[in-house]
Amino acid sequence: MPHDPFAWIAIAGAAFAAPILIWYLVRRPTTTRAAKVLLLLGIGVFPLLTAGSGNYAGFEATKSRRFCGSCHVMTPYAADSMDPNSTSLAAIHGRNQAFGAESCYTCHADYGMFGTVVTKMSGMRHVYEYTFHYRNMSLAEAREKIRIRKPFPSSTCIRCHSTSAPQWSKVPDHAGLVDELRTGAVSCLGAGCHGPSHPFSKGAPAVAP
Amino acid sequence: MIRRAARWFARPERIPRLLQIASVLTLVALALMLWSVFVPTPMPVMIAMSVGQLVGTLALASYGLAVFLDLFRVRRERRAQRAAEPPP
Repeated sequence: MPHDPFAWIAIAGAAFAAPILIWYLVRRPTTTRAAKVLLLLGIGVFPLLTAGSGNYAGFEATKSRRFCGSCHVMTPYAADSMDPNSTSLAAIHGRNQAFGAESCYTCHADYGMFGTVVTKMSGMRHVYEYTFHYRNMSLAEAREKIRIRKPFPSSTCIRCHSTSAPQWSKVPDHAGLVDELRTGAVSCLGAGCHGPSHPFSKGAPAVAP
Repeated sequence: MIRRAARWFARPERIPRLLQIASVLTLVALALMLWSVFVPTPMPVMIAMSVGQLVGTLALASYGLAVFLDLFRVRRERRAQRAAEPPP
């Protein structure tokens, strides 16, 4: 059952609209003013409530780890981040009470003013790639082929790990590379630092010079 | 062609038919939207946000057209009634 209150508003809207519509279709009353007002509620007001809150609930659902892991090629990634015994960076972040259930979205969403829109658009590309390239691919083959499209930006890490906390600056590597990390010249997930984030992560494809 | 379409829609029996079509389309749209609420996986969510919205909009447009045609019919009937009345 859904936990999102907006999902329940959507269900309530549909629950109010459906009896009115079924009544109209079964009884076929004459189109009096009362019937028209009832139909306005059944066709207009309540379905709009369902559409609005259902869309919002849908957008919220797209942030969940369950949603990302529902394509078979992503199941190892989702399973690892949910694994309480895993020590991968994804699993450590997945155990965070504040955003663990949405850890895929939290770490892979683009930052900035249009971050949400850009992320949704790249999500559509994921759907396209899945539908036309990965849908019938075996999990073993997909695990070999799937890789991050572009290098993971440090700016995503810096959203939470601000690079200004004294505890963070105490680490010699952090203190030595603070400017490079802030500008994105050095990635937090580089070899020898915190990467790879998933046990089977592969880097972004090399760009031809 | 536009006139023919307008004449087809202007028949009084079309209004309940349009409302029935709108009711069925709304039920379909609601079903698609609820599917995405209960099964929040990529395909239901995308179908609800595209096909569901389109079907719901068509339903509302059918209802709006029915209301418009009904108002048009009432106005025409009143005008005809006024024309039939003897002048004072």
